[in-house]
Amino acid sequence: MGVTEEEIIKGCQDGDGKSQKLLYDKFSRQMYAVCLRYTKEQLVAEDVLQESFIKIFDHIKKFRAESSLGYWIKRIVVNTALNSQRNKLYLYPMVDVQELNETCEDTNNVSDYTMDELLEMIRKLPTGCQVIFNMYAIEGYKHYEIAEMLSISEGTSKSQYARAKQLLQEKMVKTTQRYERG
Amino acid sequence: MKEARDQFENQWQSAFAEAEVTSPGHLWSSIDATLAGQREAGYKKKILFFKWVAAASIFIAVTSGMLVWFGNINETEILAESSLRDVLSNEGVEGKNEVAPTAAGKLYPENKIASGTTIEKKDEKMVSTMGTDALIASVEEENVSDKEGRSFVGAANSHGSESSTGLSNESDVSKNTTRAIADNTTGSTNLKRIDDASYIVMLDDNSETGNEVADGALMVNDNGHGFVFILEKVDNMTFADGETGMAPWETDFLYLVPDLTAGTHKKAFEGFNLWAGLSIGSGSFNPGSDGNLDLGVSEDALNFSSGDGDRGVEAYFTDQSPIPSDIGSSFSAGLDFGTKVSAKVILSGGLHYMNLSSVSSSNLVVTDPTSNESLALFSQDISNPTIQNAVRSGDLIVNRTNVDFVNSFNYLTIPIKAGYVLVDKKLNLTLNSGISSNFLISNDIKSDDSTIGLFDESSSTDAYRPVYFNLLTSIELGYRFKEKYYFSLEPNYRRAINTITKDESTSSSKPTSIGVSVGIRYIF
Repeated sequence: MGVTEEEIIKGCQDGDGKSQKLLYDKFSRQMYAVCLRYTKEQLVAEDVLQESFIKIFDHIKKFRAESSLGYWIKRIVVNTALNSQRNKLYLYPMVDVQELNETCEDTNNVSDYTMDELLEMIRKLPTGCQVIFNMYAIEGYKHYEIAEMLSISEGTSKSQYARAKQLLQEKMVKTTQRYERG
Repeated sequence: MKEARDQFENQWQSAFAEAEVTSPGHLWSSIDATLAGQREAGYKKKILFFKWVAAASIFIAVTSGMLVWFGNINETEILAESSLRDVLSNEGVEGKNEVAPTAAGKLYPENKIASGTTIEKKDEKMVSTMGTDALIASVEEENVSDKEGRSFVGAANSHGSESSTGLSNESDVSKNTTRAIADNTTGSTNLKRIDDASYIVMLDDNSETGNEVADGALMVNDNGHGFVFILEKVDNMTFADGETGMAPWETDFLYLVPDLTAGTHKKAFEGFNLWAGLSIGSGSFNPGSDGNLDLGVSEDALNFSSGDGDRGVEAYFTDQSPIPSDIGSSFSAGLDFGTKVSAKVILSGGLHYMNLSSVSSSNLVVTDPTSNESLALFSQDISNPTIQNAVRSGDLIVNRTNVDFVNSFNYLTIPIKAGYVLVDKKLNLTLNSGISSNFLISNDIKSDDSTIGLFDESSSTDAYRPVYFNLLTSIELGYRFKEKYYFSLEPNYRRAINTITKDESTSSSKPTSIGVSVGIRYIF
């Protein structure tokens, strides 16, 4: 008979080591993928994951089940990842957003690529583009929310995202051409 | 174009929706080790707390034991020594032969007893206590007898005739009132009870003559309080003024042993009626024992929700997790006064200044880009529309800088306590309990970073009640080091009855405090 999520939460709130291990086993793989998306090096991703889970266990007494446990954990992981990347961020408006939008043509299908390939593409983006692409395209934040979170202007967020999208599309085109040639 | 963009993002979102990557196995070991370290630190804190509790318990137990032990001995010794010394050094107790030093070697070395008087120790077991034992032994050595050849138990007051010790006449006891003790068998009034004198009267042995007045001693201390040292139980006594019955102090002391079980023995220090003094104290201040002062804002302030619509600045400010304040310190000083309302009950009050302070932190700081002035935000500032609008419009920029700040309260305190006296000797032990009214003078919050100010200092003061009440309990250890002066050491515990925060405040706290105070009193 498996342990329910409520029992795991209760155990973690009581400081039970077995419950903490169960929680880690249940969410660590998913959260490690998040960490990898926001970082460029595996060691940094591991540090972020470790720091995140320590925060999770420290603060789980505050978890009030107003949202799902997975969502609450992901928020902490994303915030920890952002904090780890904050000193590496040099965010500034890159080019005119309208100009970038006009140059973008969405001709590639993301589903043609494996998750590892997509992850690799994201991690090769410039740090600013990488963070904003993750937040906008995958996490679903709005540009003004990103602007508030990172203390940047909304325009900077949009231009950084446009640049990230452009770079990814170029990468996907190159990869497709290589496949076709090969 | 718009649809193409949405499709692009949806594809990426779907691709990573269920993404999982197995984390390295050593990661859990590191996390587990860190958590174990945190648990160990927690245990160490608990152990430290229990160590202090154990040390305090031992201290109180040892002190209480010493108070009881030395207090009892001291009182009996004081009474016996002072009375015997006084009577033997009295001019009326003049003799030719010096009494040899006693077994204690220090009690009566200079005293003299009339010579030629035969002293008979009536019953060995009856004179087994302290100085009296030595006295009688010494007197016996001197072979003291009165002129009529009757034997006496000690320095004696004889039947009506001239006393061998010269104490039978009132004139011998100048400025002291005398009260004759009658032998109820003979009706004579030749035995004297001396009131208000440092004096001793030893009743003579009438056993041979059939009189029922037994051997004994009326011992009187400096304050006129005395007891009868009964060598044989006296069934009845008739005083010259017609009063009959046992001497009232007889029930308090039998054979020089205080009758503690009856609980009616006289106190060593009478007249402890009204006192006033100064005291100063310090201790802990725990705002988190029931609720807490959630002043700071934690990094959870950065926790944004995702993908749930138009969550803007409002969400930014509502997703806060306040940081509870740490345990801080307390300090108090002021005037005390009190009075003894009965032998065992003391009422006391005072007027004190009290300072409570605790440390909290915040990592939410807003900066005015024009003036470059930075202001730390507290939990109550988060809902402030002025701040929200300023952040929304860009007039204030949010930063994440950890700032510690000290939250300090200044109170005027009026304690009222009732105390039950457990030990009332030269050393005292009293249990106190009461209530204090605490009037808020001011609340100050100061940042430890001089470059970061506070958004609205007045808002923090407004968050607290102008008055709150404490329940007080304490153990008072006292020492009367001079006739009129008294030193007190008082470990105490205070607990708020109501919250120090207003009902509408963002946090709620009923703080507790454990501390110790010392004071000095003048006894009127």
